[in-house]
Amino acid sequence: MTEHTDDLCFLTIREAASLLASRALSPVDLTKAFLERIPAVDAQLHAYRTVLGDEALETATAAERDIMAGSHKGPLHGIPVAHKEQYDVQGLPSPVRSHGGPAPTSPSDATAVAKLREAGTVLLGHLVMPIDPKIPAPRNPWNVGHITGGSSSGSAAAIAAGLCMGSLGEDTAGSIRKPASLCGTVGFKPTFGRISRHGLAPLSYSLDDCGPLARTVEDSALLLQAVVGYDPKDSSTSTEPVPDFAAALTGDIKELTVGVPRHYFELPELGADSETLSAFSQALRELEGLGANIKEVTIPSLEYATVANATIYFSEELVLAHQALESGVQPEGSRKLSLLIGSLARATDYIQSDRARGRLRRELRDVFQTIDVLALPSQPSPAPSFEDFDQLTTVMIQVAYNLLAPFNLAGLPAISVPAGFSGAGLPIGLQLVGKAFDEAAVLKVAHAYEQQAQWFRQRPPV
Amino acid sequence: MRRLTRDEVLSYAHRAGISLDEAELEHMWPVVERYMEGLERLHATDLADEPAGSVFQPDNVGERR
Repeated sequence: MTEHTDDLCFLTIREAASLLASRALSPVDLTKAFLERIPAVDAQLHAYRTVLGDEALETATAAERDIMAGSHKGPLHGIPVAHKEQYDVQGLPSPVRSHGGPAPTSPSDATAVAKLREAGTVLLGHLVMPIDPKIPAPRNPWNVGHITGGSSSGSAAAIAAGLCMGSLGEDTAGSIRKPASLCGTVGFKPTFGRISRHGLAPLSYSLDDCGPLARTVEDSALLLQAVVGYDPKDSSTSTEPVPDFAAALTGDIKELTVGVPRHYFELPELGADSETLSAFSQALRELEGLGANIKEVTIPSLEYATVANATIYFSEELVLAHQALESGVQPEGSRKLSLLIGSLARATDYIQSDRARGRLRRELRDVFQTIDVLALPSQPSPAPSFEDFDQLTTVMIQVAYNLLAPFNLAGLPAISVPAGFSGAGLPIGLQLVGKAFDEAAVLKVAHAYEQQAQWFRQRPPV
Repeated sequence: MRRLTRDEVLSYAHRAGISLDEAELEHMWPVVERYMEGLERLHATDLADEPAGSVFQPDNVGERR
């Protein structure tokens, strides 16, 4: 592995796409750079469950042949990606569908995986979703003694460490945005219904949401563009028109209004630390410097939105696990605890949570009459060490107050972008939330901030 | 809202098919307590005027897109 091949692994998708389109870079050389780096780095990170070396090289070779012949599919042609193992990939096992038993082999690709293949991406493999306590949890590339956050843990670690250029994650209560924030990458959960969930192993029918993780906002927009749209195989997908997301990334956010629900993220129960709040304040100053208006807003139902999200999530998760539990298969680790919580929720709790969802959506709809995006920290603090974190904490965070789950409950588009580092060198994230189906506004503001701040240029020490 | 006892939590878990002993429950109890506190907060809010059981649509309150 040379410095040159390492540099290739830290290109953005847009940078690599330009080189590939102009034939200055071969898809085979780019793929080989990742296949060399993965074993060298992943031995300490545990981001990959499966690496598809031969298959990836075959795809890259075909991409090279097509591009040389003048058949260029677009900005994702020849781009190496890897996806969270919650997505079905034809021929690979689906551990999430096992419910503790043997993992079934997927007969076909998830719709989103298939769409990215059609766009010309090179699939490097499956990334770990840490639901099985018997396999090592992915480690944070910025400090391997610290967690990545879950559950798109492998995706965030792999992007941050230069082990793939883009990834599909899944977000039911923050599972894209949390690891993105803790690992210093971009993670984007679009509006519920934007991306087909066909072929995604379900956790919660009404909350699961697919989305991309990548190094930059523009890369996220390119991935998102390829996977959105109505899918007859998923009745929850929307027929809402799809804009050109990359076209929104003008850098011009003058006169846009950013709402700040300070009453919520400064609650003592959330425990936001001073470094995080300081980084957030600096991000607001930068947005203001770019011409945005900053406005304090109040959304009272945020204060019970997390427990409502947890009640719906864990009740629906219990329904999905019911058959396996009846047959005697036992869950382990945090899954056992989340299913226990699901077993305690009564019908009245579920209905009250559904009503809370309605109230939250109503309040947010009213707030979005006066603002373009909401801004708040992605996480209350940087990644804790493994010593300070156990499986209980994962569920504890999901049943009390947190910064991410309310926007799952509301089904709104929400992104985490890097917003600096703690004194210990761990990433801090900025979360931006938009109104339903206005991903373009979220991407526009996130991109303008990112290009101003330039945190994405930092590389972890692995 | 009355909080569940440890015995009630164990019986609910067993009814759902989750094998759980008292030691495991003791370990998990702080999370169970935190959840029950959250539910109390949720039920203390008057949400009676919000529709329940509606088809989930993230972009509007009442009408289907």
